[in-house]
Amino acid sequence: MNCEHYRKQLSKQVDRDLDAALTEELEKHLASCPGCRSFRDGMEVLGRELQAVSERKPPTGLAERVKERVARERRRERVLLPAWTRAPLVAMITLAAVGLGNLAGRSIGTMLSSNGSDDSVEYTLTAQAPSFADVLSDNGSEENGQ
Amino acid sequence: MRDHGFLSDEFLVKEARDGSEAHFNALVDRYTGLVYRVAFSVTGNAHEAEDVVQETFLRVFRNLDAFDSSKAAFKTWLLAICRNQSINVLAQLRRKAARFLTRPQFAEDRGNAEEEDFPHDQPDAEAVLLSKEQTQLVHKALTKLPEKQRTALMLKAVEGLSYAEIAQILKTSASAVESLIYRARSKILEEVKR
Repeated sequence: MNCEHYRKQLSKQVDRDLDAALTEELEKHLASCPGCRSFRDGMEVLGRELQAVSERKPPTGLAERVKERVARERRRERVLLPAWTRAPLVAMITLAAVGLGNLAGRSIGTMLSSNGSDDSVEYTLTAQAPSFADVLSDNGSEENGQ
Repeated sequence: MRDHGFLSDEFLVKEARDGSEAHFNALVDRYTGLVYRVAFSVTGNAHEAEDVVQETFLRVFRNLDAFDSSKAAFKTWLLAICRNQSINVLAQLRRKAARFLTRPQFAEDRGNAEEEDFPHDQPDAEAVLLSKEQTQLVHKALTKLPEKQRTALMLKAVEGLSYAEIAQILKTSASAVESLIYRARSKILEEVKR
Protein backbone atom coordinates (compact mmCIF):
# COMPACT_ATOMS: atom_id res chain seq x y z
CA MET A 1 0.00 0.00 0.00
CA ASN A 2 1.34 3.45 -0.88
CA CYS A 3 0.97 6.69 1.05
CA GLU A 4 -1.85 7.96 -1.17
CA HIS A 5 -3.94 4.95 -0.16
CA TYR A 6 -3.42 5.76 3.51
CA ARG A 7 -4.10 9.45 2.99
CA LYS A 8 -7.44 8.58 1.45
CA GLN A 9 -8.11 6.49 4.54
CA LEU A 10 -7.10 9.46 6.69
CA SER A 11 -9.64 11.63 4.90
CA LYS A 12 -12.30 9.03 5.67
CA GLN A 13 -11.15 8.85 9.27
CA VAL A 14 -11.60 12.62 9.63
CA ASP A 15 -15.13 12.10 8.31
CA ARG A 16 -15.63 9.34 10.90
CA ASP A 17 -16.25 6.88 8.13
CA LEU A 18 -13.42 4.40 8.61
CA ASP A 19 -14.06 1.02 10.18
CA ALA A 20 -12.04 -0.37 13.08
CA ALA A 21 -9.91 -2.79 11.06
CA LEU A 22 -8.82 -0.13 8.57
CA THR A 23 -8.19 2.31 11.41
CA GLU A 24 -5.81 -0.14 13.02
CA GLU A 25 -3.98 -0.68 9.74
CA LEU A 26 -3.79 3.07 9.25
CA GLU A 27 -2.38 3.67 12.73
CA LYS A 28 0.37 1.13 12.05
CA HIS A 29 1.31 2.98 8.89
CA LEU A 30 1.24 6.37 10.60
CA ALA A 31 3.62 5.11 13.27
CA SER A 32 6.25 4.56 10.61
CA CYS A 33 5.49 7.39 8.13
CA PRO A 34 6.26 11.01 9.10
CA GLY A 35 4.87 12.29 5.77
CA CYS A 36 1.43 10.82 6.45
CA ARG A 37 1.55 12.01 10.07
CA SER A 38 2.15 15.52 8.79
CA PHE A 39 -0.75 15.08 6.37
CA ARG A 40 -2.98 14.03 9.27
CA ASP A 41 -1.95 17.07 11.32
CA GLY A 42 -2.70 19.31 8.36
CA MET A 43 -6.14 17.79 7.95
CA GLU A 44 -6.94 18.35 11.61
CA VAL A 45 -6.02 22.03 11.29
CA LEU A 46 -8.02 22.25 8.10
CA GLY A 47 -11.03 20.72 9.83
CA ARG A 48 -10.91 23.44 12.49
CA GLU A 49 -10.54 26.17 9.86
CA LEU A 50 -13.52 24.90 7.93
CA GLN A 51 -15.58 24.87 11.09
CA ALA A 52 -15.12 28.64 11.22
CA VAL A 53 -17.23 28.85 8.08
CA SER A 54 -20.05 27.03 9.85
CA GLU A 55 -20.19 29.90 12.32
CA ARG A 56 -21.09 32.25 9.51
CA LYS A 57 -24.58 33.56 10.17
CA PRO A 58 -27.03 34.62 7.49
CA PRO A 59 -27.72 38.38 7.33
CA THR A 60 -30.25 39.61 9.87
CA GLY A 61 -33.83 39.25 8.71
CA LEU A 62 -33.00 37.02 5.74
CA ALA A 63 -35.54 34.35 6.72
CA GLU A 64 -38.22 37.05 7.05
CA ARG A 65 -37.36 38.44 3.63
CA VAL A 66 -37.63 34.96 2.15
CA LYS A 67 -41.05 34.48 3.79
CA GLU A 68 -42.27 37.84 2.46
CA ARG A 69 -41.15 36.99 -1.05
CA VAL A 70 -42.84 33.59 -0.93
CA ALA A 71 -45.97 35.23 0.49
CA ARG A 72 -46.01 37.64 -2.47
CA GLU A 73 -45.69 34.68 -4.79
CA ARG A 74 -48.55 32.95 -2.95
CA ARG A 75 -50.78 36.03 -3.32
CA ARG A 76 -49.91 36.30 -7.00
CA GLU A 77 -50.87 32.66 -7.49
CA ARG A 78 -54.16 33.24 -5.67
CA VAL A 79 -55.01 36.09 -8.00
CA LEU A 80 -54.10 34.05 -11.04
CA LEU A 81 -55.69 30.82 -9.90
CA PRO A 82 -59.39 31.71 -10.39
CA ALA A 83 -58.65 32.92 -13.92
CA TRP A 84 -56.69 29.78 -14.54
CA THR A 85 -59.45 27.57 -13.24
CA ARG A 86 -62.01 29.46 -15.34
CA ALA A 87 -60.01 29.00 -18.50
CA PRO A 88 -60.74 25.28 -19.06
CA LEU A 89 -64.43 25.91 -18.44
CA VAL A 90 -64.54 28.70 -21.02
CA ALA A 91 -62.57 26.53 -23.42
CA MET A 92 -64.95 23.60 -22.90
CA ILE A 93 -68.04 25.73 -23.49
CA THR A 94 -66.52 27.27 -26.62
CA LEU A 95 -65.52 23.87 -27.97
CA ALA A 96 -68.94 22.44 -27.18
CA ALA A 97 -70.65 25.35 -28.93
CA VAL A 98 -68.43 25.04 -31.98
CA GLY A 99 -68.89 21.27 -32.04
CA LEU A 100 -72.65 21.48 -31.68
CA GLY A 101 -72.78 24.24 -34.24
CA ASN A 102 -70.78 22.22 -36.67
CA LEU A 103 -72.94 19.13 -36.11
CA ALA A 104 -76.12 21.12 -36.41
CA GLY A 105 -74.89 22.83 -39.56
CA ARG A 106 -73.96 19.55 -41.16
CA SER A 107 -77.20 17.87 -40.12
CA ILE A 108 -79.30 20.65 -41.58
CA GLY A 109 -77.16 20.66 -44.69
CA THR A 110 -77.64 16.93 -45.06
CA MET A 111 -81.37 17.26 -44.51
CA LEU A 112 -81.72 20.03 -47.05
CA SER A 113 -79.74 18.20 -49.69
CA SER A 114 -81.29 14.80 -49.06
CA ASN A 115 -83.07 14.81 -52.48
CA GLY A 116 -79.86 14.67 -54.43
CA SER A 117 -77.75 11.69 -55.32
CA ASP A 118 -75.02 10.42 -53.03
CA ASP A 119 -72.47 12.36 -55.03
CA SER A 120 -74.38 15.61 -54.72
CA VAL A 121 -74.76 15.11 -50.96
CA GLU A 122 -71.06 14.63 -50.64
CA TYR A 123 -70.42 17.70 -52.76
CA THR A 124 -72.86 19.72 -50.71
CA LEU A 125 -71.29 18.67 -47.46
CA THR A 126 -67.73 19.26 -48.43
CA ALA A 127 -67.97 22.34 -50.54
CA GLN A 128 -71.26 24.09 -50.14
CA ALA A 129 -72.79 23.03 -46.85
CA PRO A 130 -74.49 25.97 -45.21
CA SER A 131 -72.73 27.13 -42.16
CA PHE A 132 -74.39 27.14 -38.77
CA ALA A 133 -74.50 30.93 -38.95
CA ASP A 134 -76.30 30.70 -42.30
CA VAL A 135 -78.81 28.29 -40.85
CA LEU A 136 -79.45 30.51 -37.87
CA SER A 137 -79.94 33.51 -40.11
CA ASP A 138 -82.27 31.45 -42.29
CA ASN A 139 -80.13 31.81 -45.38
CA GLY A 140 -79.11 28.20 -45.59
CA SER A 141 -81.21 26.56 -48.19
CA GLU A 142 -80.82 24.52 -51.27
CA GLU A 143 -81.78 27.51 -53.36
CA ASN A 144 -79.01 29.79 -52.30
CA GLY A 145 -76.63 26.95 -51.68
CA GLN A 146 -76.36 25.61 -55.20
CA MET B 1 -46.40 31.81 16.41
CA ARG B 2 -46.47 28.06 17.09
CA ASP B 3 -43.26 26.17 17.63
CA HIS B 4 -42.74 23.77 14.75
CA GLY B 5 -39.30 22.68 15.87
CA PHE B 6 -40.43 19.20 16.83
CA LEU B 7 -42.19 18.49 13.54
CA SER B 8 -40.48 16.42 10.84
CA ASP B 9 -39.57 17.90 7.48
CA GLU B 10 -41.93 15.48 5.79
CA PHE B 11 -44.85 16.65 7.90
CA LEU B 12 -44.03 20.31 7.29
CA VAL B 13 -43.79 19.67 3.55
CA LYS B 14 -47.13 17.85 3.55
CA GLU B 15 -48.84 20.70 5.37
CA ALA B 16 -47.14 23.30 3.17
CA ARG B 17 -48.37 21.43 0.10
CA ASP B 18 -51.87 21.68 1.47
CA GLY B 19 -51.44 25.44 1.55
CA SER B 20 -50.20 26.08 5.08
CA GLU B 21 -48.06 29.20 5.05
CA ALA B 22 -47.02 28.65 8.66
CA HIS B 23 -45.58 25.21 7.89
CA PHE B 24 -43.71 26.46 4.85
CA ASN B 25 -42.32 29.30 6.96
CA ALA B 26 -41.16 26.74 9.52
CA LEU B 27 -39.09 25.11 6.76
CA VAL B 28 -37.64 28.52 5.91
CA ASP B 29 -36.73 29.10 9.56
CA ARG B 30 -35.19 25.66 9.83
CA TYR B 31 -33.05 25.81 6.71
CA THR B 32 -32.17 29.43 5.93
CA GLY B 33 -28.84 29.17 7.77
CA LEU B 34 -27.84 25.95 6.06
CA VAL B 35 -28.85 27.12 2.59
CA TYR B 36 -27.01 30.40 3.14
CA ARG B 37 -23.79 28.66 4.20
CA VAL B 38 -23.89 26.28 1.24
CA ALA B 39 -24.67 29.14 -1.17
CA PHE B 40 -21.81 31.11 0.33
CA SER B 41 -19.47 28.13 0.08
CA VAL B 42 -20.18 27.80 -3.63
CA THR B 43 -20.34 31.47 -4.65
CA GLY B 44 -17.89 32.89 -2.08
CA ASN B 45 -19.95 36.08 -2.06
CA ALA B 46 -22.27 37.18 0.75
CA HIS B 47 -24.58 39.29 -1.41
CA GLU B 48 -25.00 36.60 -4.05
CA ALA B 49 -25.52 33.97 -1.35
CA GLU B 50 -28.48 35.94 -0.03
CA ASP B 51 -30.03 36.07 -3.50
CA VAL B 52 -29.47 32.33 -3.87
CA VAL B 53 -31.31 31.70 -0.59
CA GLN B 54 -34.33 33.69 -1.77
CA GLU B 55 -34.37 32.05 -5.18
CA THR B 56 -33.94 28.57 -3.68
CA PHE B 57 -36.95 28.87 -1.37
CA LEU B 58 -39.03 30.38 -4.14
CA ARG B 59 -38.25 27.37 -6.30
CA VAL B 60 -39.01 25.03 -3.43
CA PHE B 61 -42.38 26.73 -3.01
CA ARG B 62 -43.19 26.50 -6.71
CA ASN B 63 -42.09 22.87 -6.99
CA LEU B 64 -43.28 21.48 -3.69
CA ASP B 65 -45.64 19.12 -5.50
CA ALA B 66 -42.73 17.66 -7.43
CA PHE B 67 -40.86 16.68 -4.26
CA ASP B 68 -40.87 12.90 -3.78
CA SER B 69 -39.88 11.84 -0.27
CA SER B 70 -39.32 8.27 -1.44
CA LYS B 71 -36.45 9.46 -3.64
CA ALA B 72 -34.67 11.90 -1.34
CA ALA B 73 -34.92 13.60 2.02
CA PHE B 74 -36.26 17.14 1.90
CA LYS B 75 -32.92 18.54 3.06
CA THR B 76 -31.07 16.78 0.24
CA TRP B 77 -33.61 18.01 -2.33
CA LEU B 78 -33.38 21.54 -0.96
CA LEU B 79 -29.58 21.55 -1.08
CA ALA B 80 -29.57 20.21 -4.63
CA ILE B 81 -31.76 23.16 -5.65
CA CYS B 82 -29.50 25.52 -3.71
CA ARG B 83 -26.40 24.14 -5.40
CA ASN B 84 -27.92 24.50 -8.87
CA GLN B 85 -28.88 28.08 -8.11
CA SER B 86 -25.41 28.80 -6.74
CA ILE B 87 -23.72 27.35 -9.82
CA ASN B 88 -25.87 29.54 -12.05
CA VAL B 89 -24.96 32.61 -10.03
CA LEU B 90 -21.28 31.66 -10.06
CA ALA B 91 -21.38 31.27 -13.84
CA GLN B 92 -23.05 34.68 -14.18
CA LEU B 93 -20.43 36.27 -11.94
CA ARG B 94 -17.65 34.73 -13.99
CA ARG B 95 -19.19 35.82 -17.29
CA LYS B 96 -19.63 39.33 -15.95
CA ALA B 97 -16.06 39.52 -14.70
CA ALA B 98 -14.67 37.96 -17.87
CA ARG B 99 -16.12 40.85 -19.89
CA PHE B 100 -13.84 43.26 -18.08
CA LEU B 101 -10.81 41.21 -17.23
CA THR B 102 -8.42 38.99 -19.07
CA ARG B 103 -8.53 35.42 -17.86
CA PRO B 104 -5.35 35.31 -15.68
CA GLN B 105 -6.28 38.61 -14.04
CA PHE B 106 -9.78 37.32 -13.44
CA ALA B 107 -8.60 34.18 -11.71
CA GLU B 108 -6.37 36.18 -9.43
CA ASP B 109 -8.85 38.97 -8.70
CA ARG B 110 -11.68 36.59 -8.16
CA GLY B 111 -9.57 34.74 -5.59
CA ASN B 112 -8.95 38.00 -3.77
CA ALA B 113 -12.59 39.06 -3.93
CA GLU B 114 -13.74 35.78 -2.45
CA GLU B 115 -11.07 35.91 0.15
CA GLU B 116 -12.36 39.30 1.28
CA ASP B 117 -15.83 37.91 1.63
CA PHE B 118 -14.87 34.89 3.68
CA PRO B 119 -14.82 35.48 7.41
CA HIS B 120 -11.51 36.32 9.02
CA ASP B 121 -12.66 37.45 12.42
CA GLN B 122 -11.19 35.48 15.28
CA PRO B 123 -12.37 35.76 18.86
CA ASP B 124 -8.93 36.71 20.25
CA ALA B 125 -7.09 38.66 17.57
CA GLU B 126 -3.57 39.06 18.98
CA ALA B 127 -3.41 35.50 20.25
CA VAL B 128 -4.31 34.02 16.93
CA LEU B 129 -2.40 36.17 14.49
CA LEU B 130 -0.72 33.13 13.02
CA SER B 131 -3.97 31.27 12.96
CA LYS B 132 -5.61 34.17 11.16
CA GLU B 133 -2.99 34.07 8.46
CA GLN B 134 -3.57 30.36 8.21
CA THR B 135 -7.32 30.90 7.97
CA GLN B 136 -6.82 33.32 5.10
CA LEU B 137 -4.61 30.81 3.31
CA VAL B 138 -7.20 28.08 3.75
CA HIS B 139 -9.99 30.28 2.45
CA LYS B 140 -7.94 31.39 -0.50
CA ALA B 141 -7.16 27.76 -1.28
CA LEU B 142 -10.86 26.94 -0.98
CA THR B 143 -11.76 29.49 -3.63
CA LYS B 144 -9.31 27.86 -6.03
CA LEU B 145 -10.94 24.45 -5.80
CA PRO B 146 -13.28 23.24 -8.53
CA GLU B 147 -16.86 23.88 -7.46
CA LYS B 148 -17.72 20.20 -7.05
CA GLN B 149 -14.76 19.51 -4.76
CA ARG B 150 -15.45 22.63 -2.70
CA THR B 151 -19.13 21.84 -2.30
CA ALA B 152 -18.47 18.21 -1.38
CA LEU B 153 -15.90 19.22 1.21
CA MET B 154 -18.09 21.91 2.76
CA LEU B 155 -21.14 19.66 2.91
CA LYS B 156 -19.06 17.08 4.74
CA ALA B 157 -16.77 19.15 6.95
CA VAL B 158 -19.18 21.96 7.77
CA GLU B 159 -22.63 20.44 7.51
CA GLY B 160 -21.76 16.87 8.45
CA LEU B 161 -23.79 15.27 5.66
CA SER B 162 -23.13 11.62 4.83
CA TYR B 163 -21.35 10.59 1.63
CA ALA B 164 -24.65 9.19 0.36
CA GLU B 165 -26.49 12.47 0.97
CA ILE B 166 -23.76 14.48 -0.74
CA ALA B 167 -23.81 12.02 -3.63
CA GLN B 168 -27.52 12.73 -4.13
CA ILE B 169 -26.96 16.47 -4.12
CA LEU B 170 -24.03 16.29 -6.54
CA LYS B 171 -25.71 13.59 -8.63
CA THR B 172 -22.76 11.23 -8.33
CA SER B 173 -21.75 8.10 -6.39
CA ALA B 174 -20.72 7.92 -2.73
CA SER B 175 -17.25 6.67 -3.69
CA ALA B 176 -16.86 9.62 -6.08
CA VAL B 177 -17.75 11.92 -3.17
CA GLU B 178 -15.05 10.30 -1.00
CA SER B 179 -12.59 10.95 -3.76
CA LEU B 180 -13.73 14.55 -4.30
CA ILE B 181 -13.33 15.29 -0.60
CA TYR B 182 -9.91 13.67 -0.42
CA ARG B 183 -8.67 15.62 -3.45
CA ALA B 184 -10.10 18.85 -2.03
CA ARG B 185 -8.28 18.37 1.26
CA SER B 186 -5.02 17.41 -0.46
CA LYS B 187 -5.13 20.48 -2.72
CA ILE B 188 -5.81 22.83 0.16
CA LEU B 189 -2.95 21.39 2.17
CA GLU B 190 -0.61 21.70 -0.80
CA GLU B 191 -1.71 25.28 -1.34
CA VAL B 192 -1.25 26.23 2.30
CA LYS B 193 2.24 24.66 2.43
CA ARG B 194 3.49 26.77 -0.51
